[in-house]
Amino acid sequence: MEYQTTSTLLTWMTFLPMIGAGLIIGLVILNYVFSLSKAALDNVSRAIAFVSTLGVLLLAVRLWAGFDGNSTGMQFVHHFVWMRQFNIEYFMGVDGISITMVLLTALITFVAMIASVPWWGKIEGQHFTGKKVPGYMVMFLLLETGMLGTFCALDFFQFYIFWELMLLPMYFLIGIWGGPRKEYAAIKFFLYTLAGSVLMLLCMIGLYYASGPSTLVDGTPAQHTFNIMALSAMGQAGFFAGAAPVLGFAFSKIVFVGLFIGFSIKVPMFPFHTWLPDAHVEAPTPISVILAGILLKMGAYGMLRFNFQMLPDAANWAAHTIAVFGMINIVYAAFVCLAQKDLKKMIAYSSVSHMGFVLLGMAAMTPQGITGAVFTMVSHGLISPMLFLIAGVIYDRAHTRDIEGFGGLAQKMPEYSGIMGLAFMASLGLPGLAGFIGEFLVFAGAFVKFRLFTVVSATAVIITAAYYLWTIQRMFLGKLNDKWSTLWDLNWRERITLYPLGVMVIIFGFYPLPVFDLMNKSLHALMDVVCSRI
Amino acid sequence: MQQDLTAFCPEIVLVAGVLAAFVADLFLSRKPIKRVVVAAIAFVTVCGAGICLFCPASSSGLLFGGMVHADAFSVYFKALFAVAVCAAVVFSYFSDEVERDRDGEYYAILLAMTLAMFLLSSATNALMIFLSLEFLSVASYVLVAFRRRDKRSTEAALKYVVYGALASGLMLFGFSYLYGLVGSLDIVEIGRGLEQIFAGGATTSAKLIGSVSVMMVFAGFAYKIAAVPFHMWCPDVYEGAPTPVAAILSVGPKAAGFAVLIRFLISALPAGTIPWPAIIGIISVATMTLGNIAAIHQNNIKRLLAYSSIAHAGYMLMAVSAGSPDGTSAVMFYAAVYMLMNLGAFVVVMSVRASAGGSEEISTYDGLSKTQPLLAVLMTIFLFSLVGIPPFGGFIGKFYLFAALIKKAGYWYYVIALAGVVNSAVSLYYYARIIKAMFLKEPVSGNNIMKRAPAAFAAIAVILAVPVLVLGVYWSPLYLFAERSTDIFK
Repeated sequence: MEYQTTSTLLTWMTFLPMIGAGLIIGLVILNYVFSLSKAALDNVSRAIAFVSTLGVLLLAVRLWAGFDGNSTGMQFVHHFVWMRQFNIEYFMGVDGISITMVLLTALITFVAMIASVPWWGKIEGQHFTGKKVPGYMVMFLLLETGMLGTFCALDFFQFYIFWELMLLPMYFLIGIWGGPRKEYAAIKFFLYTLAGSVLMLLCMIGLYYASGPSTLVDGTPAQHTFNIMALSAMGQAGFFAGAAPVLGFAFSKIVFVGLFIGFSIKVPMFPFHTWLPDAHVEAPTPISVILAGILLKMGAYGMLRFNFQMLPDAANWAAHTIAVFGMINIVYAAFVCLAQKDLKKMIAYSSVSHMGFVLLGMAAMTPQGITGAVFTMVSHGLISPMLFLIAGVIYDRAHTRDIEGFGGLAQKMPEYSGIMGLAFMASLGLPGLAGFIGEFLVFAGAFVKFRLFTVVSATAVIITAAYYLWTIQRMFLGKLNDKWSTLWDLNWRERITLYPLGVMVIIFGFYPLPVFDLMNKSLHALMDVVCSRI
Repeated sequence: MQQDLTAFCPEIVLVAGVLAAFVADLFLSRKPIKRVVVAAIAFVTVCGAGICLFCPASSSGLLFGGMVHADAFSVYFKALFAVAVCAAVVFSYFSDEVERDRDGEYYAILLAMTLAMFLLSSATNALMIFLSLEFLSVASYVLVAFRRRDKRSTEAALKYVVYGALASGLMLFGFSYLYGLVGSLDIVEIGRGLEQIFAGGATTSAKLIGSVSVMMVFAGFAYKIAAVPFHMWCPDVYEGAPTPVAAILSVGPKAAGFAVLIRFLISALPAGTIPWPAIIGIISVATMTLGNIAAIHQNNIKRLLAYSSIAHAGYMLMAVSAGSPDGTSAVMFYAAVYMLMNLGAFVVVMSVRASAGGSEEISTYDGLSKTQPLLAVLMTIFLFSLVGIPPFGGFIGKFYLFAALIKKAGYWYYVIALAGVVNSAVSLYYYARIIKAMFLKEPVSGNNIMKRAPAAFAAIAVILAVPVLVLGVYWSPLYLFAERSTDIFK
């Protein structure tokens, strides 16, 4: 009853890409009838996808303009009953935590879209941008619908549908348009994520049957509910802590663990991270961008929205374990990065390492820690797409990513070297760039709670600096390998994708306030819930 | 008596259809006309029977002295059979696997099989259960062996007969003991009798005999739904049978088996007699695990779908073991969704088989997305729906199965549910093998389309894919229908 429909903006945003996908499918069917030329078909489907993602970005700007940062509740709510039989509702809305993710999704998807078209720059030889274009665009747009829906959904059932909706397009995007080991990478990604989400399904049903009576949005009384806001209110009132035990374990704890495993596969958290290097390396550049920029954040978002907000007692119970896993992620992945010879694989492992900061910050449950975790999600969402785009640039030219094989590239590609230096510095946490703010807040917040873990994690900063600087040395400095004397510098398509991200990384490094303004109130409300239980 | 026959109307229509098909076969001599006429008779008959199901207020109690009960529960399953057989008539007509000179028999036996399923789903007497089960089996044997000149087809039928004879023999033996114990063949009477025996009035040996005989009866049901350990016939039969027959076997008799199993469990085994939720639960976990693991290594698509159908029987048994109205309506809902998606997958198999000159290997599907994109997309929908991934109907079905288990909130049910989700994840691997072949592999030059498959297959697949997609986002009407149909058990 609390949240009535105020706006349909989020619904439009979420389903606009799906409309675009429908148009492209219609186009393909038309093509069967009228046999359009391949170039025309490809370019029109690219244009449709481009306009759809641009439209989402514009709607996202409107969302940002209309968002009231001083409110802790859900805004832009669209709420009606979907399936009365199981009290399933259609409930969309954003608060300060999810709006940052929604904005990030709209931006990064648009950037990835630009990287998916062969316009505004030379493309050499066989390239994924020329392969089965309509299919690619349909999958890309469905993926965007899934991602936006996941961040906006406030009904657990609806959340689950969107969460799973992403799997299919991602499987095909990696499997059809990916690199040499694409088949293995695609099925591994799919199996890992599905294993996590079926576990989540059981927890979801368990929470439903453990929930107390509630009312649907039209005022009908309901025995149980999937409504995340109602479930959170019940969880915070200690409802689930007192529910009947499952398999001899406390209900809230076992549900927490089940949900946590589901989300931590997506994050990914050690030891569930092994799908990530394969998927990131084999995926085409724009899909790596989306994987690193957005999909990883979904796991962390899910933890905040479900594990922390719904089961605060169990979250306190598990905090130490999460911190340990966060520390392992940070340190272990940083060492693995040192050993990588493939540029893209190194960047993939650095994502694992950085998501460890998010875990550590959340586990600390201090204001700085959680703010730092969410800010790291945002900054990593800007920096890692840059890194993957950079890896894509060199792969498109040299058709190899072997770090050792390059050398002296700075002479041939000065602009590229500069932007790569910026991205690397941002990622290793150089003060003045966005990566630093999040890392600093995480360390500051976590040190109060976990001294040892924080100190150990902080050593990883040095290792991170080491592998980035060493990579720069091996790729850009020294003598130019004659083999690469034909390489050329950035083209305009690459500039349009890289520069805006670089500018934002610098701006948020000096002036992160706009991001904090968005999320502060909601984060404080969450922290009041979680931290008050210590 | 008058009222009895109105409620029996669908079955009467089917009997008339069987006779009409035989007569038409006898008097029409020109082949093409005969084919059309007999298929039309079969189609009209099944549609007619389906319409009759809903015409009168037909849940009118017991018929023929308590032999069959035309209640809402059986009407739901009969409606499923009618839809499945309608589709079967159409795709059988276009399939070249049904020998063209024996159409009359084929459709007549198909209708007889439908009649058997109708009777089985409403049987309330042990004798009637046994007779209709045998009726259904015999009709199935003949259809499986329909390609007389094909060795695999006859071999499959022989295996089917041998297993069938064993299972129904065990079942009959079990019924005879039950009759000896309680003195009645009516399943409600059997339930009352067993309740008295187990309430403590009887000796331990009587209880033991009761338990053993019920287990023997289970053998017959397990055979019909292809549950472990009576599943061995299934892969061989599906591989050897003409594909349209395999398609209908995978949905029709299986659903009928579930209908009669649920009716028997609820009527004849009230709480406090035999701990059947545990027994069914164990069978369920064994069935789905075996089905999924065995499917991983299959290279023949029909064998793969056979093991997948074994696994799906396991999923449905999972909700049967919940033993609640929710579990029953979940099984009924799942049976409907499963019928749509499995028939759809088989129709695609038929089409690919027709265009690839009879090959059923998974390697035939290499690069199908390039050569026949529509079929590849449809197959993907059906297969992902079988995995149980949103936004397809299969997910909603699985959701209800798990929901029914978790609602019971018992230690045992959580374990089964956990086994179920692990199995769902495993099943993705082998379904994705087909998808990988279709989308990720390049067409092999030897696999070029040899001839065009009838467009009717693609059309049927599209018609089946629409509800699979729609049920993924809007399923209340079907679920309400299923839920209403379980009212008698409350």
